[in-house]
Amino acid sequence: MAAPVTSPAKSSDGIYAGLGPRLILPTWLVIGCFLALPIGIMLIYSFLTKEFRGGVVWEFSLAAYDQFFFNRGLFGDEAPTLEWTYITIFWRSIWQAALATLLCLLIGFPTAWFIATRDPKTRSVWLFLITIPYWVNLLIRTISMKFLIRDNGPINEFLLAWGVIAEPIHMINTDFAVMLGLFYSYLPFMVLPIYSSVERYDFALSEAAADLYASRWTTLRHVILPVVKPGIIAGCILVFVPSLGAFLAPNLLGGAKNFMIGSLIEEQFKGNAGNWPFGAAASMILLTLVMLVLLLYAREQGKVGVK
Amino acid sequence: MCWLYNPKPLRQYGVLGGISVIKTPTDLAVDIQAATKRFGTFVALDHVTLGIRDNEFFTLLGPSGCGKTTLLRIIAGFEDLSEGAVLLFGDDISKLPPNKQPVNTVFQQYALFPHMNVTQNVMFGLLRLGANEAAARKRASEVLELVQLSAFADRMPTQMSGGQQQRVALARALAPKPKVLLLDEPLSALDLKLRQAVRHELQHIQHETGITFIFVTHDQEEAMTMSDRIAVMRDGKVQQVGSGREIYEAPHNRFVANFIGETNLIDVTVNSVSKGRASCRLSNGKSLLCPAAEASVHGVGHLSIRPERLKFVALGKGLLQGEVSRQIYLGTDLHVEVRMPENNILKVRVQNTDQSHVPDVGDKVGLNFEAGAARLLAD
Repeated sequence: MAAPVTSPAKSSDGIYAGLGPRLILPTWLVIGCFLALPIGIMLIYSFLTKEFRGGVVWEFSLAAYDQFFFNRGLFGDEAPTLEWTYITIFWRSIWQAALATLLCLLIGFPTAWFIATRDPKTRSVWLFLITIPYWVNLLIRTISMKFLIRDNGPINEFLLAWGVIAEPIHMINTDFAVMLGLFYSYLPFMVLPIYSSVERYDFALSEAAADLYASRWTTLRHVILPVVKPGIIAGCILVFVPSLGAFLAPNLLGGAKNFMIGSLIEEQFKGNAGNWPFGAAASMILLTLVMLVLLLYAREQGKVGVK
Repeated sequence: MCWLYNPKPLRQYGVLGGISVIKTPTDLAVDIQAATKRFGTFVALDHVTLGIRDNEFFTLLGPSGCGKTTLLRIIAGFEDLSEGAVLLFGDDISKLPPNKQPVNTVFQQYALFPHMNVTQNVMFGLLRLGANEAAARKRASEVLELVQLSAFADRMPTQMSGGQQQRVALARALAPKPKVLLLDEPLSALDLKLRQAVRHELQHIQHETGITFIFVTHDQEEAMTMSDRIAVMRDGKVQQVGSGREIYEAPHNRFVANFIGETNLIDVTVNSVSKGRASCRLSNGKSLLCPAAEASVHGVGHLSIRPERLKFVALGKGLLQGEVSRQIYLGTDLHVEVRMPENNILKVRVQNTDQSHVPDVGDKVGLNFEAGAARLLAD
């Protein structure tokens, strides 16, 4: 009787058989301990009562959410009206993050296209250059930005010296400064996913479009953009989501007037003046918003069905 | 771009895509005049002159790197010529960008738009030419019917087999009614059975539509079965142009003789050449008078004899003799190799009708051929 023949691939498979499920274990552990657990704690804290020196009292309360959405007067005894303070902060944050995302897209797409169409050898050099700023801490980079755009910073000094402007342009502590900071912080997150999409783009499609009488603009609009859309959407999410919750750029570049969600949440957990349940509730509302954006993206992806 | 729907031929206008061009009266669909293309120091096309007739199935045949794809890409407008000109029905199109040229291409890997369904793919060119949605949809369904894909109109390309994708690519290129259809090895990604079926279909569609097809392939069988005429190319030069029969029966040089089908090359001494016939002497001293390619020279030359034209005869009879060294059974045919006294091998193809006439390995045999079956080559 002949012995059963096993191919080499099959037998090596045998050695690792059953290991597969166990290989994912560290990932589950990290996600569980450092993602699910903290979010769970936040969710619980958002429904607890605040203690005055920070921290929480273990007593169920909807006060944090109530404070976010409703105004009951100074002593809490008036009829509730809609509280605009925090909604305005959220709205401004969304708007700022969206503008930063748009700016990242406008600059990032041509950059990614440029890199992806270089010779394969020089591509890695360009990608390397993109990552260089990340060797320096975000805090230091944001502070450098602050120095650059100050009223008497190098940009204004330069423009004044050349007579382009008569007075320094006021940039620091404006929405523009915040957007610039966000744009600078997250640009590579736009470039890299778009790059990987464009790199896989089959340029024969552009030739086919040109062959079928499409101009360059039509080719971009009807062929290139739809085909590399997954990369563009991934890039937009990777820029929009952290921009929404960012607090370094708004704090350092935006000043006190240009409060964003990130700063609002940070305040609640800092020192003795904080309100932990309120910070937790604001975080949960932010999380819900982000989840909604991701859900929309997932639905869009499912609808297109491009592999 | 109203020319698309205009039945009058382009040459009456002398204007193409808004650019005025010089008119020359011609019956050629594509007139390639001394086309040269250099990539750096590499010469991809070397003064290629070719005339492709209207309503012709024309094939560019050659090994990879011979320049056939470069030539196709130049006609399509994807590459610019270094020198020379390409005329389309008399109009110089060598300076036009691809989206201004009334030719369409079926790409090797099809290049179907992955985010559009079959109908949208086929409608793409029509919409770019300014057709309205309804007209484009009507034309798309017509063309899909022609390639027998009506049932797949709403499919995405990724949900289709290679053969179906290939037909979508064909439909997409045919939809705008191009003056010339370019096909860049469109069958190379298909398996053998499908390839044979698609050959007939392509030929049928070419007859049906009356569009000039320029087909690029490295597969000589594909070229032979479909083409009205074939241009055999090598190293950026055209070696020979003619029908499949002409090229097979009367190859111009050793490259063509070897590339199209199998052949035996026999060294001979050429005594004289006149009026397409040459008097040659074989190495065993025997002489013969055979057809000769133009420009064949005196002195040492090469005869080409197809394996199926060699016949076994009794030893001592016939023009050649040798010893059978190998026999390969091929089903319909037997392939026999005969070692000559000069140690070269001649291939003989015998039809598998009566095996008793086929000599065995080790037998000494005579070989004969009609003088008309041999041909003195140009090099």
